[in-house]
Amino acid sequence: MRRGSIIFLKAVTVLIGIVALAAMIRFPLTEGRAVNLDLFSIYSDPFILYGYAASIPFFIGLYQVFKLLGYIGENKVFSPSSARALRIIKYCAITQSVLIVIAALYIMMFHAKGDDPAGAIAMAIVATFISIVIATAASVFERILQKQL
Amino acid sequence: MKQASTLFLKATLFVMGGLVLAFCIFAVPAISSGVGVEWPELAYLKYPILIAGYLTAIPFFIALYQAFKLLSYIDKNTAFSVASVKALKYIKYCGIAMSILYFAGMPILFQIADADDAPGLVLIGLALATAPLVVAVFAAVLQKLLQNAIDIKSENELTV
Repeated sequence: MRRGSIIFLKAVTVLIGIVALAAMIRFPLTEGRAVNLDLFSIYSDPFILYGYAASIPFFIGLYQVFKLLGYIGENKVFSPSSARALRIIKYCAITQSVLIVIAALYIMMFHAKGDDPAGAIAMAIVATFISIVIATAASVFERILQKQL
Repeated sequence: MKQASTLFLKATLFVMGGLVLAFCIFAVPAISSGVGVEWPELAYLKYPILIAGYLTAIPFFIALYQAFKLLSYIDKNTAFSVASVKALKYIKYCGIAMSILYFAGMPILFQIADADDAPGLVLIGLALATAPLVVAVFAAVLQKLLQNAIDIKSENELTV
């Protein structure tokens, strides 16, 4: 039962990563301005490149979750390595929230005249909030773990 | 510092609860009566949507309350106790119940998606239905871990 649930959670983690990656590759192609551009200029847009760079902590965090699930499966949760994985998740989440805030500020300041970026900003606020919640939860878990070691 | 982080997580639980409460009060009745206005042939979905909407809210709020209790245990340094294992067990059951209810409600969503010609709606519904299941499995794993830790602890106390 335990092994099955670990495999399930690992599969979900991988699925989240694949969906995020697919969305990130697909999304620039669907934007209005992409119609008149060749593939290279679509992806070499500075903001889109920033988006790819900013996704790195997300994928690192996901990988650490995967590793953590592996430790749980091997009965090694109460080990320094899983505390380390949680710490990395915490730092990734903090970095992610900062990167999203920077992106939101950029959109706020440089969006086209007459364009209303309220939706994008709202999404950025929610995403920032979620990242902070993850960081806090990871730090709480880390502290509980540390106490047990 | 520790108090602050659990306090923040507790506040997050309150925000989530408030959002869902607002959704229940404002959005669910609006959706249930709006479907009949938008697509008269789907008017018979009014009460199923209402019932399904409120029914799924019940396990959600129970799970939220248990998560709140769990954070209190962490605050009091009693995370490794039978009480928190129990809270996790309730969260597990609530997650399973929510997932079952969502999957049971999928036929409603199918008809709306069909009428609206929006197949993406079904995909979103599936994602929403799977999310509580993921939470349930995670809670089950945590429950097992905690139980093991408690068992080992009591064993040690017995031998010493």
